Amino acid sequence: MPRSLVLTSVFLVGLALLIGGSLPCLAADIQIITTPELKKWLEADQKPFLVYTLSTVEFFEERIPGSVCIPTEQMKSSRELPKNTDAPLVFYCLGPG
Amino acid sequence: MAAGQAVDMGYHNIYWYQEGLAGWKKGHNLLESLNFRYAHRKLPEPIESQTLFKQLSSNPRYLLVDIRDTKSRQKEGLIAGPTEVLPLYRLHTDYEQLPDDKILVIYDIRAKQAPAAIRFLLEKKYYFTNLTYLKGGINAWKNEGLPVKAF
Repeated sequence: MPRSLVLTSVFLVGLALLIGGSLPCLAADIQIITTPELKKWLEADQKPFLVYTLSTVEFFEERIPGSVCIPTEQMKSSRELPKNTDAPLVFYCLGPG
Repeated sequence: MAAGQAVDMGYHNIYWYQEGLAGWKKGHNLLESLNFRYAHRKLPEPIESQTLFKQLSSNPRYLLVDIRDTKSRQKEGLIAGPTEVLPLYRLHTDYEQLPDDKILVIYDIRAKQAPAAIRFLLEKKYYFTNLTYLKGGINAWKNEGLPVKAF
């Protein structure tokens, strides 16, 4: 294999690791959704179950319409999540900044 | 992370809206508020780390209120001084456990969530004179090299 090709491969693998390493660690089953995608989905007939994961105090102040507040600490004991485990769930909090 | 917990609970159609409220607002999308009346009210001046350090060692009226979650407490430790631990997710139900004869200093990680706690408490039995928050949270305190204790 030509030396330049080897160096390019090493560089690309390194770059991929660098980018991958800077992304938040997500379980394989969790997908990222963007603002336009979420907006469109919330306007559709079949809406996702939208969960705000911070506190009720913050939820009282500001939230995306149609959200339910389930603080992360209370997620596993909450009875508010849908019984159907096929139901689409979207989680959010304050976001960056 | 909440979405990770949902995986553990057997859900398998899970999305993480990473941009969060900040991204939603940036796109000028509609927000709902149950407490709009106080959501934008004026806050008391935050207290600087060094000032708080001096007050904690000389004024027994000062009481720290740690509103972080357990994970952060374990990772970062607690500010050394008299402390009431009241995670923000329990504040709306348990705020009455906070004394009203002390000067309460609310703190979190970076002072991102403390303002919401302050606005909530100002609606209850607390006033500008007995309520403030730590500027920059425990991050700023630690950056000043001030003492923390293990949780």
